[in-house]
Amino acid sequence: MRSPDRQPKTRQPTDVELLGQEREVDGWEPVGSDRLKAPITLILGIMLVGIVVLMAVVSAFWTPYDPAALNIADRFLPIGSPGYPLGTTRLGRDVLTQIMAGARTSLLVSILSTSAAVVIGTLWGLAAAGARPRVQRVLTAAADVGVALPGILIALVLATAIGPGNTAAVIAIIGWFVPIVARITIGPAKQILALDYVEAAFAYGRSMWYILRRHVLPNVAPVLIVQASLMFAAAILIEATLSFLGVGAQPPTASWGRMLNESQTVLDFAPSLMIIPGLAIMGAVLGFNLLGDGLRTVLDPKQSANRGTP
Amino acid sequence: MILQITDLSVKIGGIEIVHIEDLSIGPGERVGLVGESGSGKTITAMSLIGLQPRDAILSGSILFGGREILGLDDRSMSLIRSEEIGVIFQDPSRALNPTMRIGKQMAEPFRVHTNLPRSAIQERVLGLLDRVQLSGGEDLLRRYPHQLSGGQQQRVVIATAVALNPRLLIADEPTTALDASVQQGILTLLLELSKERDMSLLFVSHDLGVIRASSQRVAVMYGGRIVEVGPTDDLAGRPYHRYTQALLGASPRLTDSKGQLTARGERLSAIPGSVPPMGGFPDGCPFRGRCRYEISMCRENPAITALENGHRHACWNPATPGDARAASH
Repeated sequence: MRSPDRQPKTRQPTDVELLGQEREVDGWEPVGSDRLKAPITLILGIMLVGIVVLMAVVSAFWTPYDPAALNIADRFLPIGSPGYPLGTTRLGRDVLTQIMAGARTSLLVSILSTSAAVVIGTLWGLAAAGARPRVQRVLTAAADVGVALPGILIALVLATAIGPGNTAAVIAIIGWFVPIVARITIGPAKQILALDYVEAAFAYGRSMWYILRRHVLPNVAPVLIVQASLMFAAAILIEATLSFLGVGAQPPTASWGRMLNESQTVLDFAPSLMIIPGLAIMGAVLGFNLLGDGLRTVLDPKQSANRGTP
Repeated sequence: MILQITDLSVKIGGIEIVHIEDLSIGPGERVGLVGESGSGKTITAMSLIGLQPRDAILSGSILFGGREILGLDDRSMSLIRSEEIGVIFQDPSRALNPTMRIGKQMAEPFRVHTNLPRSAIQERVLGLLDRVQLSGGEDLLRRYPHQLSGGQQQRVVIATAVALNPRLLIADEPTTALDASVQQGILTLLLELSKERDMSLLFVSHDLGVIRASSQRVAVMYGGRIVEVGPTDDLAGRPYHRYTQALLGASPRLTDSKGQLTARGERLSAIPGSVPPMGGFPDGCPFRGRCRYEISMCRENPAITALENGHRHACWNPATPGDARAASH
């Protein structure tokens, strides 16, 4: 009686153990790869952004040469020439100096324009969401029209009207982005205004302005933060575009877009003069996109815990 | 009477959504407003405090404490809403701002309507927490809504609604979004608060069981009208209107007419058809078309028949005692 009783007892635990192990292996692989995916893009993004920011900050205090200085004797030096690791331009300017100073132009224009656009666009969107139906329709339609207009044309017209320069680029990018931010804010803001805690806040006598500020804004902020990170990358590209077209940064201000413009005629025999600023623009745009994307992934689980946030 | 509604009509886009000829709530009285979804109960309740949809047009009269409150400007309305009429919404997770700490949200009524210093407000809030049986004190006040359970959230909402000692509390489906196990606790809390503060309660629900447990008087709504109103026991024991009868027949009962627990489950009868969309109710009796006892007279607007104890109904072919028993068994 004893031995048949014992046999199943010793067999059963091994079965259970096996099952448990299998399940563990099944569960581990996707979780592990999911966890690795977010950091890799995020780390790459942080690295690229870090390089750009470092160049910009350092260039404010020190560059290998004066960014504005010309040196006709040393023009068109190739990559790796003594004293000029990235070569020189057709006017004999040091390419490394130009890239570093260009990073500063790029970041300054992008930071100013994106932050101003987010502030103005959010105010526009909140005002539209909280306004009386008729005013709301007008403000929403205005944002729709703004989004529908071809941004680069508006930016060119604005920049030409103001006169070329970094100020023109900043204003042009603000004009492009503001309706987009407003459009993105209106929907979620209206959704939140329909929630019961907003109704309750009205019920105990809070004003619309207070409700927009304290109840609506914190709840639309996640959407706006993600949008701002993507817009920042777009702003870098637009700044380069405007400078390339000649309405952005003017000499002697260094700019990646203008470097491209100045070297397009010599593409045949000095291609590195286009490739280097091109890589700089690509790296910066990619970096900020990856950073924004990675941050969104990292922050997402927290967002889903906040019910009521659309 | 603390609240007296007379000929209240709510129109949206030219369609009359709600028409209430007469409904009153006495001081400390608990009144249930019951009906299926789409019967107009929530719009009625929200119209009382000026929280109707923006495009709704109200007419008639709502007397609160003898004062006409229909058509008051926003400012005076918000004063009445917060200091004299409290509101509890259906879903507590929608009634609390996910980005604001519990303590700050509970302090809001005091901050808007009193000049109390911060420390005094904190004291009041802690007192309220105690009253709604939430433990955790200051630690709980520092939490965010998603860190609380549904029942805890609803207790916070209730505490905030009664913060300024309102004379009337409107509870719109306060237990619907909660687990069955939590519902009883919330219901008990509301009853206790109503009794100890002599606070009237307007209880809006589609759940007859909840209404029976909470209300002294019931008004049954269908198609934006009150089809039957009366003391809870009278109405549940002897319904007249065919809609009330159908509603009772569709709600589960654990006890028989003598109050004894029934041994076996009873078959529930569904109400045929579904509630028509806004403005899609037929002329005459709104229940026409879904009613099994329809007669030709039902095309006419129903007359109101008054019975004893303030029991009234609006049915052309009311249930007989035999029917009533059949419906509730």
